[in-house]
Amino acid sequence: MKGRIAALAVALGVFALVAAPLAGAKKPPPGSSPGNSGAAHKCQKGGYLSLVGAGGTTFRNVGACVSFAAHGGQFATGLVIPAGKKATLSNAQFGDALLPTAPLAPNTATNCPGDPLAYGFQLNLGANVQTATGGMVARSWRGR
Amino acid sequence: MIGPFPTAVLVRIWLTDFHTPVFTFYSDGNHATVVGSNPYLVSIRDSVFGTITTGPLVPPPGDGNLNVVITIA
Repeated sequence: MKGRIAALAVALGVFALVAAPLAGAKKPPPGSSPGNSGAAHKCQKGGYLSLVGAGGTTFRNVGACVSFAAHGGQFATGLVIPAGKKATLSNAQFGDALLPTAPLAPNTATNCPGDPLAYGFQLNLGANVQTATGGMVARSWRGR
Repeated sequence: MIGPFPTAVLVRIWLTDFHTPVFTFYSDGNHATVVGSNPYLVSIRDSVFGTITTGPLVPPPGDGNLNVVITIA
């Protein structure tokens, strides 16, 4: 009988040792995604200077970037201008040819001659900024 | 010239076809290709005969209704 009591006491002691730390362990904050550690890693070593959230979120420091990623944020995969850098648009050409190949193959139909066009850029999914217009003249810029 | 900015900035090139119905296509959409690694060549197709195509109409690089080079430095 004494042996059984001793074994029970040992078992309870082991349980207490294991259970106590688990009970006191902190739960991860709501919305955190442990699987995003790779994304958060991208923020390190100056990486945040070249990253933008897919929705246009910008990061002024590595902490903001890590927090964004840790909460499941996704980074934009398109064209990104890194902090402190400039972008230049050049050699813009409006296509204006009609049915350049025959028979018509997939993806060969181009703009109807005379269709007015405009192009520009957009930053962080904000307002469209117009750069130029064209497409009004029925001519090809391709040298044909 | 676009920038510089204190943070990284996502830039999209767009092309609007004013033929009714007016529609705007973006460089990350299904009417566009972006090739290269600085400079990048962005090519965007328009709505084709004034009709907005619902499916992809991805132009070969350099064969869009708009072709423009973007250089980041």
